Amino acid sequence: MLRKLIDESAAKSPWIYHINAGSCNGCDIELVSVLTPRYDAERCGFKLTGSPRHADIVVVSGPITVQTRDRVVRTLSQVPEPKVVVALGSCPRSGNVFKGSYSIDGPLDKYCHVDVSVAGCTPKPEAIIAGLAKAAEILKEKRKEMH
Amino acid sequence: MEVKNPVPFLKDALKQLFEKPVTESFPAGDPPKAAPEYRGRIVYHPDLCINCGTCLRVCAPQAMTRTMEPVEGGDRVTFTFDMTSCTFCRLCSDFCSRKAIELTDDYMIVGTKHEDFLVSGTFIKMKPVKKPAPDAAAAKPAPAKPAAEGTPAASPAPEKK
Amino acid sequence: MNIVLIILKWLFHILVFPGFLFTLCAALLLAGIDRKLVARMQNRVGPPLLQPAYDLLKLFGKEIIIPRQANKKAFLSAPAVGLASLLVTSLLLPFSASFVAVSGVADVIVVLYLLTIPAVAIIVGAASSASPFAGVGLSREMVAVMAYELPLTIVLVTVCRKAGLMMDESGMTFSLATVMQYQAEHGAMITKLSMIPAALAMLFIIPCEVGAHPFDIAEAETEICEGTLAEYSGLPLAFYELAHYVKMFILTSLFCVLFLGGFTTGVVVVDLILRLIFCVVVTFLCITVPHAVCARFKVEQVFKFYWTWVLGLALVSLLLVWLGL
Repeated sequence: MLRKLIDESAAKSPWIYHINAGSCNGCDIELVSVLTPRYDAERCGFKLTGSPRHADIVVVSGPITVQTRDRVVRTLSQVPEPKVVVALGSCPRSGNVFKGSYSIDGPLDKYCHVDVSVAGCTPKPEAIIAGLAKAAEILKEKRKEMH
Repeated sequence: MEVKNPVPFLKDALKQLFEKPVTESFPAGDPPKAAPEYRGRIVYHPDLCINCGTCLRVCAPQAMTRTMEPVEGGDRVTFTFDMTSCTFCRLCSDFCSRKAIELTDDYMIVGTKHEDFLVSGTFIKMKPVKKPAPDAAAAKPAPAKPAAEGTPAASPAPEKK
Repeated sequence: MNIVLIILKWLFHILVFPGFLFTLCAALLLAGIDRKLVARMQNRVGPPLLQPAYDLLKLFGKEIIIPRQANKKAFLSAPAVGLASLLVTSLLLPFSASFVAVSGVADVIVVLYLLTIPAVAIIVGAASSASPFAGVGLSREMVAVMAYELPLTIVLVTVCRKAGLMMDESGMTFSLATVMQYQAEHGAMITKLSMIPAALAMLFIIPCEVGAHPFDIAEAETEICEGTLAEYSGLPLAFYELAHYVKMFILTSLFCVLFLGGFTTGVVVVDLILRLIFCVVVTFLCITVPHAVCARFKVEQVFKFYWTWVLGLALVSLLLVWLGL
């Protein structure tokens, strides 16, 4: 029974860690605006943490530049299981207007399995909340698979 | 450093404790409608498209792909718009002379697989039908005229250029 | 037969009331109310009241990652030691003038050093983390501990002297039960004019010890990557969060014992409910309102603030009480 409670709680209190992998900051501003009083995401339990070891959902924004590539991989490996990776905006999936540049090293798919993608340039905060809610559901599935 | 009021928001905070919060009801309710002229998910009308290719040239992140396969009488043209590459600048919609591309106000572009983000449409562009050559009887009066109008027809021609 | 009953009674006190289960539920309730009130003050809806419980349950289900260069034994045992000392403190606090689980002649000294152990546990846990962020966090935690320990000691000594003047022949008492008895006979401590500066000083000490917002320099989230808790994940992190909430309950309970105690209605359950209501009010005053309104202090500002203003208030009270007022 304790196990069932733990599984239910995994979707009710997902903690977010945000990695900026070379983003233009547009998506970052929309992400932190999700925690403001107008779009309050904390009523669903979302909380922005300062350390990747506390996080459940990792939100990556920005095309993965050559300079941030190793650091993104290293940070993602520090997040404990079960974890969900969310690609915020259109940059992590395809590079958007920066495609083919000398300093961009590929979509995020090359380095880790991306679970949810919120497209838009920039996505509206309501779309980000919908994406995070879907990520919380996937988190619950992953937690159930862990035992 | 002069500090005017060390606790600036105290009165507001205590007053707001008893007021209704300003939070939107989503995700408990419906998502709110976007502002007018919002540039959201693309809707493609293949029946209006003429396959001119201007949108492909204008798109900055090159979010569109076009494939053509020959069928009987023409080509089957398929346009695919990739929402994960689109910047939503609306240049393709502005340049399209037939208004075949429309950016709606659907902003919920959330998905787990790559296929969720592709908008595509197919149409068949028929080859133009060749017109028959004009026959010799209809062309008879024409050779008589140029001899009389040869000189006056020649002089306006350089001015037109 | 007698021995069995005594052992059962002690197990009940340690595990259910006022030990493990009761402290746990009260702490989660206080933490939930605190988060909800902060959200309402900031004009938003806020998490449900049970949110801290969901946080803890989720942390039980996460993987525990131990850094390669960390000291494994200290890393894993520090949070448990901190939590255990707080639960022992809860056995020592009287809940009304008629009920206390453990009572001794020198309660106040034991409570004082039991309350230092969670801070030392945080420092030891951070030192064994092998991370530069944890190192910065632990030096800040040491500054915070130095800042609030002195005024706390002086406030406790002041209260004990005031109670001891009337209740004990030697003029000084160190027993919390005697403090409650004094308040039962002569009225709550906060109604005495000379104790009001000490009560104010205690209200300032509580957020620094708990780690609540304007003074939470140790666990500064955004500044130093969560500070002392930077490398923790899973079950040890759950223990640290639980210690944070339990510290909130223990300190507000201590404030109620020292300054607002003395009355009893005879029924233990009603006393408990009244005590919880007072704890919620004290939490609102000294943890929630500053959390919603103030920004975080700098490290040297915290130290200066505690050693000038708060120490001054406590010393004023001490002087007045020693002169017999």
